[in-house]
Amino acid sequence: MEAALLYLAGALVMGLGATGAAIGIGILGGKFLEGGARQPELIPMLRTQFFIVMGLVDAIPMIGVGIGMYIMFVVAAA
Amino acid sequence: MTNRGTTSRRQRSIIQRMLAAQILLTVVVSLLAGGLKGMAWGYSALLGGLVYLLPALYQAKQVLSHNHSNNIRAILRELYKSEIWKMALTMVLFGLVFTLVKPIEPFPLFGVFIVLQLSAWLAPIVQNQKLYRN
Repeated sequence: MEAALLYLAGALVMGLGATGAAIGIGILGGKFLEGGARQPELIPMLRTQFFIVMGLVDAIPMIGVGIGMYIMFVVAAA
Repeated sequence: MTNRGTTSRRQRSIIQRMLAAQILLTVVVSLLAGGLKGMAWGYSALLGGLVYLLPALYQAKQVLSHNHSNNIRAILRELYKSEIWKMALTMVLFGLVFTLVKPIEPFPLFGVFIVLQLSAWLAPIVQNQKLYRN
């Protein structure tokens, strides 16, 4: 029972974090397309900024993935 | 006038310098952790850094090497593809670390991983002026 709850906790940490990132990166991609369509001469700058901001948006789910996998592989297995 | 659709040299150097600073940070923190707290802390910190850096380097290589002129849809597709691979690679590396490396110290592992993520948050603030110059 306790192990099952730990697996559930790990899955929730990863899944909810990924949902937030999916929304954020979806909005980011939409704005990138809008910006590029309005001013194509800014595409190189937008591309670099997209890359950097994508790193910011995916930070929390990445940390969530690490902690979730730690819960599943180490804590639940112990 | 910029060269449309390609990553300019200045912007490329921003990404390269950011990654170089993160590699340096990983090495310094791992050496400090290893020296102060013992071998397990040292390699755990190094592994935390590698789990962040390997997917980030892969993504930077993908983003910087592809040239789709000014086809914005192709650029976006490439960026999303690189992001998916980065996430998958991170999961695989965490899985490998947790199954193959024993004993593992969670504090330095996640400490370095989180500090590197936060360093990526600070980069746009530090580089703000350079990002907007083209």
